Amino acid sequence: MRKNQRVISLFTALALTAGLLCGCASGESSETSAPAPEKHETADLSAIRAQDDFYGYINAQRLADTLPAYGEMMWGTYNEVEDQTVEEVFGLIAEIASSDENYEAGSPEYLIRSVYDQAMAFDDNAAVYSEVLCLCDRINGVRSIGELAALWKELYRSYGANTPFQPVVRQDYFKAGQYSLIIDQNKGFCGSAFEDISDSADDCVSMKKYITDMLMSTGCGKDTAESKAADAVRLSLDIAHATDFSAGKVSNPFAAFDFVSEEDMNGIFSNLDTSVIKLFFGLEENPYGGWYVKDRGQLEKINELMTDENLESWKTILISELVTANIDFLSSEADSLSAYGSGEEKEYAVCMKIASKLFYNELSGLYAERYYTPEMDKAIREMCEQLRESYRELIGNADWLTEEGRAALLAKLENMQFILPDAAVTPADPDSAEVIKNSYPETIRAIREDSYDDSIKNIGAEFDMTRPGMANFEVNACYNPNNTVTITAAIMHAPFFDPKADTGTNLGGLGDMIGHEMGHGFDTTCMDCNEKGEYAPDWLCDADRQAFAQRAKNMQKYFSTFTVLDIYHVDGEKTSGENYADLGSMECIVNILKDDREQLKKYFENLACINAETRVDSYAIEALETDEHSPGKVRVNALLSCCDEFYEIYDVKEGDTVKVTFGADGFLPSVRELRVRAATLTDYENSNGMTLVMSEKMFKEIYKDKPLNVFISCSDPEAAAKVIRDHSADMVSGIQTREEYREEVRQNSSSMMVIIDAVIALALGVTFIGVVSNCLIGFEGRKRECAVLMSTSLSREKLSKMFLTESAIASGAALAAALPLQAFLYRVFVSVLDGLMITIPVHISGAGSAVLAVIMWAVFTLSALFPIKALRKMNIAVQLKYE
Amino acid sequence: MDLIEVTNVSKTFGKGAAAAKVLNNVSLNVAQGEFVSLMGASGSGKSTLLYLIGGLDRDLEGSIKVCGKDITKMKERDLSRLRLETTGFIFQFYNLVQNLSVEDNILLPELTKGRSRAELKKDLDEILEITGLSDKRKSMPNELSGGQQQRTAIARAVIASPQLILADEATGNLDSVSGTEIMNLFLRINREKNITILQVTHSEECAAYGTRTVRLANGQIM
Ligand SMILES: Nc1ncnc2c1ncn2[C@@H]1O[C@H](COP(=O)(O)OP(=O)(O)O)[C@@H](O)[C@H]1O
Ligand SMILES: [Mg+2]
Ligand SMILES: [Zn+2]
Repeated sequence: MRKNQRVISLFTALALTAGLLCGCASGESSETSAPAPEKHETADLSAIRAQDDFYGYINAQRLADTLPAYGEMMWGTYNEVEDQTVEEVFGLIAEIASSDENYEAGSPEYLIRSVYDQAMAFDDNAAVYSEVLCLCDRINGVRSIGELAALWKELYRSYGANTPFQPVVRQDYFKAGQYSLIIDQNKGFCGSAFEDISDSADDCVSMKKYITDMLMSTGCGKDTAESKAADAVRLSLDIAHATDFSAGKVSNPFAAFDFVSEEDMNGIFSNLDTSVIKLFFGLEENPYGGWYVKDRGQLEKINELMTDENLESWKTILISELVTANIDFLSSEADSLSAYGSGEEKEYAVCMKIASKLFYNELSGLYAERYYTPEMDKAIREMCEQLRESYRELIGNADWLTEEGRAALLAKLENMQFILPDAAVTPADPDSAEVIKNSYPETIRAIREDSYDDSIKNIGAEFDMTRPGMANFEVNACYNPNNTVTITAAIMHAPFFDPKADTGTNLGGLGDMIGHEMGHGFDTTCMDCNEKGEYAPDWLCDADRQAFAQRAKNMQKYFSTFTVLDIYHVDGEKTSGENYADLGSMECIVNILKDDREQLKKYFENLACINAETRVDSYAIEALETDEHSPGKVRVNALLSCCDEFYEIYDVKEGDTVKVTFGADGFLPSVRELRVRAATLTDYENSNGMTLVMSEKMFKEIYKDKPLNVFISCSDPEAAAKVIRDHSADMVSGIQTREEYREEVRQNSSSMMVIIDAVIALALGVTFIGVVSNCLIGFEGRKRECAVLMSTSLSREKLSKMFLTESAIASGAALAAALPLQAFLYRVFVSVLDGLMITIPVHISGAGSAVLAVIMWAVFTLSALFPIKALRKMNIAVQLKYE
Repeated sequence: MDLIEVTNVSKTFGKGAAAAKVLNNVSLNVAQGEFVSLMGASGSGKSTLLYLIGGLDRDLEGSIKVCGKDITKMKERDLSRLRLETTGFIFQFYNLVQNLSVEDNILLPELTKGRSRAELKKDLDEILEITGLSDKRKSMPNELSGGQQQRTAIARAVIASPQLILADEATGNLDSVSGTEIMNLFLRINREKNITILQVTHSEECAAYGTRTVRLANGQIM
C-alpha cells in the first residue's frame, strides 16, 4: 500500500535551481526535448505532454480514429481483445461440432457436440408448444397459492421460469469455505424491471402489452389477456413500490445482505409458510438456520401479495415467465410471439447459448486446454510470485501500520491463492452424459434440472476455494473476498500479455490485472476480511483501521477531483474499492521496476494502452453512477499523478529545453527558451536537508508563472545559499535574507513612488496645456461661426454657457474613457516593472481615484474659460465683414 | 420717432498715427417702413455704419437709437436681446452655419429663443414659400447656389419677424438674375410684412428698389 496519498505534492525531479527556470513552464507553450513517439502525427495530439496527460499522450491518436460502433456505448482495448476471444470460442465450438473424433461420453467435447447437433437438427417447435400449453393448463387448474408455489418451483427447475423469490445457493461471504442460502432482490417480472415500471407509465404499458402477447400465445382471448395482464402489472407495481433500488445496487457483499434467521423468516412469511421458501431451495431443513436477504421490504411485500385473492395475477405472471423462458422454441408457433424471435442466425444463436448458458464451465476448461500454453502458465506463476514479493515489501515498509497490522496483512498476502486457467479443466464425468436426451428440448430441460440439482447439492457442502470465479474466455480477472484471485486465459492476449514483449509491457497488462485483483484484497471492502478471507472487521486493531480509513478518505477526495467531459466528477466513494486496487497494483509494479527506467517506461505505456477507451458522452456520464471503476483516463492519469517515478521519467530533466512563458495571464507575456541545468531525485537529495525539490505543477501553482522570487524558509540560510549558488551558476540573480529583501523593496518602492508621482504630475501638466491650447485653436476656427450665431440667434452669455457645457461633456467623456485605459496601462506598467524586476506595492484607492477624477473633470471643464474670454474680446463686426 | 436715429456718429479705426476716421459726424434717420439704400464708394464706411447700427460694433462717438433706445448706452446683454428681437442681418457672404440644413439655419434663431419646431412650422412653411426654398428645406448650404443661400439668409432674418433688416451688399456676390430675385424679395418683405430695410449696395439698379437712397462719401452723408 502507499505510504500516503499525496494529492498535490512535492513530486518530482527538479532541484530548486532547475525549478526556478523550468518549474514554471506553462502547459500550453512549453515542450520538453523528450522524443515524441512516432505515432503522434497530428500537431494537436502530439502536443499533449506526458507529464500533463499521460493517457492522452499515449492513446490520443489511437482513440481519435476509433469511435464506439453504432449502438455501442463504448469501445476500448478490452473490447478489442474480447472480439478476438469470441472468435476463438466460436471457432472452438465449430471445430468440436464438426469433428469426427470419438469423444468420451461425458467429456465437454461430447456434450458440446451432442447439444450442437441436436440443436441444429431440431425442427419440431410445435411439440414444445403443445407441451407448454399442457403446462399452462396445469397452471390454470391450480386452486391455491400453496399449490401454485409448488408448481412454480417445478417449472423453475425444469423450464427456467423466473420466480418471485430469487433463491441462490452461493458462497457465504461472511464465512469463507461455506455455502449459504441467499434470497436476492427480484429485479422484475416478464422482462420488465421494477425500477423502470415504478416511474414510467410507458414501461407499464409495454409490460402489459408483453404479458398480453404471452397469454394470447397460450390460447387466451385478447380481451381476457389484456385484463389479466393489467392485473399482473398492478401486482408488479405493488412490488416495485416496495423495492429498495439502492439496496439492489450495493456491490459490497458484506453490506448487501442481512442475515434472516428462520424465526425471523416466519415473521416475514406471515401469509405463506416458510416451507414455501424451503421448497424453492429444495430443502426440508435449513442447515444454516437462516437466509441472507438482500431486500427485506420487497420480500415482505411479496408475502403480503401472496394471497388467494391475487392467485389469478400470480398465474398470469407464471405463464408469462414460462413462455418467456422458452421463447426460442415458441416464437415461431404463435402469432402473438412472432415479434419476439431472436432473429439471430441459428448457428450463432446455438453457439452463444452453449458458451454463455449451457456449457459455460466446460467450455472454459476447453478454452484453457486449447489456448493456455505451458509458457503462459510459467509466466503467470512467476508474475504472481513476483507481485506477491513486491506487495510483501510494500506492506513491510508501510509506516502507517502497527506491527500487528503489518503481520496480519502479510499473513493475508501469503494466504492469497491464485486460481489459474487450468483450474477450469475438469476430468470427463461419464454421469453428465445423461443430460443428453433424445431431443434438443429434452436435453435443455435435463441440463436445467441438472444445474438446479447441482446447486442444491452444494447446500451444506464445503465451498470449493479453487473454483474459478469466471470462465477462461472472459477478458478479465477477479478477486473473491475469500482471498482468491482468478486469472483467465483470455487475458493472455496482447496487449495484456505477449511472450515476446518486455517485462515492463507485460507488467503493464497482465501484471496490472493481477496486481489489481491482489490489491482488492486490501481495498476498502475486503480490508474487513481477515487473513482467511472471512468477514471479520475487527481482525485489525483500531489504530490500523483508523489509519486505513483516513487514507481511504484522502484517496476518495483525490479521485473525486477528476472529471469526465470537464464537469462531471468521478464519485470517489463509489469507485474507492477499484481505485484502491489500481493504486496498490501501480505501487506494487513500480516497486518491482523502480531501478529499471526503460522497463518502468514500458509499464507506464502499456498501463495507458490497456485502459484506452472511448465512450459516448451519455454513457461516460451514466457510468460515473453505474460503474465502480473510474473511467480509463482517470485510471491512468490519477495513478501516475501520484507516482514519483513517473515524474522522474516524464517530467523535465537535465538538458531539456523548456519554453517558459512569463506573465502568461498578463498583457505582455514573453516566451523564453531555457535549458534545464540540473535535475535531481527526491529520495537521496532530500537526505541532506538542503535541497528544495518541487514539481513543475506545484511551482506554477505557487508562483503563477512569474518566478521572480523564491522564498525559502530554512534553518541554515548560509548553507542553503551556498547550495543555490553552487548549483545555479548564473541563473539566480541574487540571494538575500528576508530583512535584506524587505529593505530593498522598501527603498525601491519609495524612490520609485517619487518618480511615479513626478511622472504623473508632469503628465497632468502637459495634458492641461494641451487641452487649453486645443480649446483656443478650436475657437480660432470657430470664430466666424460664433459671430454668425451671435449676430443672428445667440447672446454672448448663452454662447459662453454652451462652451462650458461642451467642455464639461468632453472632459467627462474623456475621463470615462480614461478609466479602462488606466486599468490597462496600470497592468502594462506593472508588467514593465516586473520585467525590470522591480517590486513596488502600488495601491490605488477607490475613493482617492474618485476625488481625483472629479477634480480633473472640474479643471478640464474650466479650460473652457480660455475661449470664453477670447469670445468676449472678439469684435463681431470684424468677423463678419470680410470673407 | 424714427426707427433708426443716428446722430453725430464718428468712427475711428486704429490709434495715434495709424488712426483713420472712417465716419465723421454722420447723422441718419430711417423711419418705420422705409426701404433705404446706402451707397458709396468702396471703403467709404457703409458696412461700418451698418454694423454700428446693428450693435455689432459698439466702439463709436455720438449716439445711435434703435426703436427709441440708445444702443450706445445699453448693457451688452440688453443690446444683444434688442438685436435678436428687432434686427435681422443679411451679409454679402450669406454667413450660414455650414453644418446645418436650410431649414435648421432658418429656424436656428427662433429655436434658441426656446420656441418649438411645431410652433414654428407654419411660419417656416410660409417663409420657405415666399423665398422659394420649399424643395430645398433639407439641403445643406454647400449644395445651394449663391442666390439660394442668400434667400436662406433672408428667410432666417425674416422668420424672427424683426422690425428691421440690415443687409450688407446682399446681391454683391450674385449674378443679376439672382440679384433681381433678392431685390423683389426685399420689396415684398418690406411691403407685406412692413419690415424696415436698410441695405448697403453698389448697384444703382438695386438701390432703385428702395424708397430712398443715402450716399456716403468721405465719412459723411452727402
Ligand atoms: N476693423 C478695421 N480695422 C481697421 N480699419 C478698418 C476696419 N474695418 C474697416 N476699416 C476701414 O474702414 C474703411 C471703411 O470700411 P468699410 O466700412 O468696410 O467700407 P465699405 O463697406 O464702404 O466698403 C475702410 O478704409 C477700411 O479699410
Ligand atoms: Mg462693405
Ligand atoms: Zn477490480
